[in-house]
Amino acid sequence: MDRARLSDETLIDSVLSGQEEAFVTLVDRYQRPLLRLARAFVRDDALAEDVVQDTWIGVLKGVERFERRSSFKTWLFRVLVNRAKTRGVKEDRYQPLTQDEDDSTLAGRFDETGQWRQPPGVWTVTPERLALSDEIRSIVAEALDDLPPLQRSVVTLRDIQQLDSKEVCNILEISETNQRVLLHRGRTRVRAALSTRLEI
Amino acid sequence: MTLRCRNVAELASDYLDGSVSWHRRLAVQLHLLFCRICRRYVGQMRQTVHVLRSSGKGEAPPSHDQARSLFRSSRK
Repeated sequence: MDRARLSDETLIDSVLSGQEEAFVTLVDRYQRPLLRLARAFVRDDALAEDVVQDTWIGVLKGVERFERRSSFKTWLFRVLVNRAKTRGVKEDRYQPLTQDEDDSTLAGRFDETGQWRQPPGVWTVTPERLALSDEIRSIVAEALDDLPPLQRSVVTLRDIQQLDSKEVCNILEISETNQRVLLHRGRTRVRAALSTRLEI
Repeated sequence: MTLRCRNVAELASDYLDGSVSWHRRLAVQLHLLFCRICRRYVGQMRQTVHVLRSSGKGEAPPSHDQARSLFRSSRK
């Protein structure tokens, strides 16, 4: 059986009826994004792994009470954010997501009249091949890790996890406007990282 | 509303998500009609979002042993 194709809700039902492999499938699906988000809250890789482990324990304990008013994904990331805050504060490694993230990627690329002073170069690879190569994936992964925490969280949840903006605002407790600005800045930086490799 | 290249670059992300007002969207489209460089930039942003959206798949799965052991201890 290819469990990878089953929906979260179906897997949850299986977990509730005691199926271990369903839980393993959920872990496969969400471990990396959870880690990425955890690292935004605690500046320590080992602690981030602990936080994710706590999250899974919390999921196993709380899944019976999960009322499915939101998607499982949203609930999961909320559990993570709560665990990250708790553990982070306890270990004195908590860094509250600051609003104060400077964006300088586009600054200086325009002249006083608003026209391009430093225009984007042409990329060497076609759109169809862009998503496929390992090298591109690794450039993106690195660019994501280099993003300031709040930008990284928003890009991870919106673009990679494809949660909608309302869910993301809910999970991260930020406003819609702020969320759009952060998404813009994060994507701009990832584009710049790709450009460094892809420009002729 | 006349948009400069800088405005279009700043709006690119919202524009691609469809989260701009209809008149702003029209203004962006009009600018893109005549500005090859901004067309290139917005196109690259579109490709960036596309890569991000497909990057969730294909990552190496984490170790299963730990997951199994968590599951088993939760059943005790």
